[in-house]
Amino acid sequence: MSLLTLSFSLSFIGIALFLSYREQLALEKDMLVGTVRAIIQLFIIGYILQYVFDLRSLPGLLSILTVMVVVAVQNASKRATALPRSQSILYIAGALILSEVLTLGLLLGLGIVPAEPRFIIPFSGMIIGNSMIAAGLTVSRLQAELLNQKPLVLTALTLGATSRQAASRAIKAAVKAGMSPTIDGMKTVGLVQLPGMMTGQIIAGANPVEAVKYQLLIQLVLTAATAIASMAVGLWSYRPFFTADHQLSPCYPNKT
Amino acid sequence: MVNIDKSVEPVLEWQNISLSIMVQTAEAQAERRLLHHVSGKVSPGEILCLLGPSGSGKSTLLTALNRLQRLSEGEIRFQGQPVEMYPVTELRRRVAYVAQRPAFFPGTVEENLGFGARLWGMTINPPLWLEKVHLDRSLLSQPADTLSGGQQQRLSLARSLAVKPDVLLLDEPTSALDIHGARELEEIVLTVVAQENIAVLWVTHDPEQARRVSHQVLLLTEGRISACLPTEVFFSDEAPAVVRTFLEIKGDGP
Repeated sequence: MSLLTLSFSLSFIGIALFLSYREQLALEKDMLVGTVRAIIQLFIIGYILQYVFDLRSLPGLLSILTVMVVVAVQNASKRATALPRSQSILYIAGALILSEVLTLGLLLGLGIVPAEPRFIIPFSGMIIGNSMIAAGLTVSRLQAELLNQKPLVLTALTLGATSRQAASRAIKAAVKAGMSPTIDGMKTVGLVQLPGMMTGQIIAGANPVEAVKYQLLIQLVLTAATAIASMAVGLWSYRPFFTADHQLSPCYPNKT
Repeated sequence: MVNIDKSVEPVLEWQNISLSIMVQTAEAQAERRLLHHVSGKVSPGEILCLLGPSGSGKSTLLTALNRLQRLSEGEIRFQGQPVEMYPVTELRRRVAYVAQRPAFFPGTVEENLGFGARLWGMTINPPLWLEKVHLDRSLLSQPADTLSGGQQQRLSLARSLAVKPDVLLLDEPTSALDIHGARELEEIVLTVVAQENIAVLWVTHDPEQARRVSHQVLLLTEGRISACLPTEVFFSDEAPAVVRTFLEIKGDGP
């Protein structure tokens, strides 16, 4: 695709701008900013990727992965409103790194994908991105469940439960909430929408069945990745809400 | 009133305990003292009632005794040993706290009754426990949250008794019940105490209830002990002025 033909696609924004103007939605400014940002960000990442692919350098690859993890941790830990900041960062970073290392390690170890930046970076992007969403959902749901279930958590503690036992119902609900977008997505994939990656491959000229194979691989990898991230966050991040003596700690979620 | 053998060793004893919490105010964190140097003890088969105005620290004392809250000072001994010697979960099984408002897990009466017992790998006889708290065994398969207030309170008591505690900490168990329900619960507790030789700490706002059920009465005011007396002395003319004043105010109330 030449840049000239690509520039014709700006006419689509023109349609949206026209509608927004006519219906007085006042979205024109946001749309223009969004368009300019999308153009700049995507081209920058495109050139960076091209550079790293050509360079085949390990430090270059690792720094891209690090940036991905840092941004994802930053984003997901915003959801951990009740946890002390340092702990939420620690647990979420731990969960994302664990999920990335295990799933990518398996992909490379079993020789499913070649150990080249061209494969590692897009796969990592999807693994870390989905783990980030799962981790954020898990931690915010965990806080909400602990708040709602406070009388039950206390009841369990008074009957001699450990913190882990008392929190187990909340942890389960939180892990389920973290994984449900991936599982729901798996059930409807191909029926409701064709995943972006698959669509892109088909448009770029790949055989649809070949594209499906990659999509299936991705879907299964992401299920594992979100399961690992949700469970790690669920099993770690309830801890600061209790003391070593199985009492509620001062940061236990409270109505404000 | 049953007479207690004074030679029996106390099962639970607390000496000089204080408890403070940090309160977040608009400007800064402030420390608020809920208990000031409180001491007392209770022996097997004995019922000790805690009386005092709202906010005097009655419930706080109960939750401190089985380490649901951290002490700032003082020592608690269970069966002669400092409570820190026991695994905290084991301590809470043996010094069982029954909350003022019972909370039930989604599930049947039977599942809720057996919750604590399952934690401890104990097998229980559910119909027997329902019988002890005057509940019909046909309720076993019902969802616990469909029970009436009085039935829930009794189920909550049975759930705590089922893990075989040595001490029962009752936090205003009859506050939400009518006079009939309250009397029935009193009768149940008195029977269980006599049968199982359990020691009971019973928080109540009703002096008449304390007079009916207890052997000793402890009066708390603003986190301090105002009086700790045998029940017959507490309600007699020999009681100190602070007790008589408290009872007069209560007597004028609704």
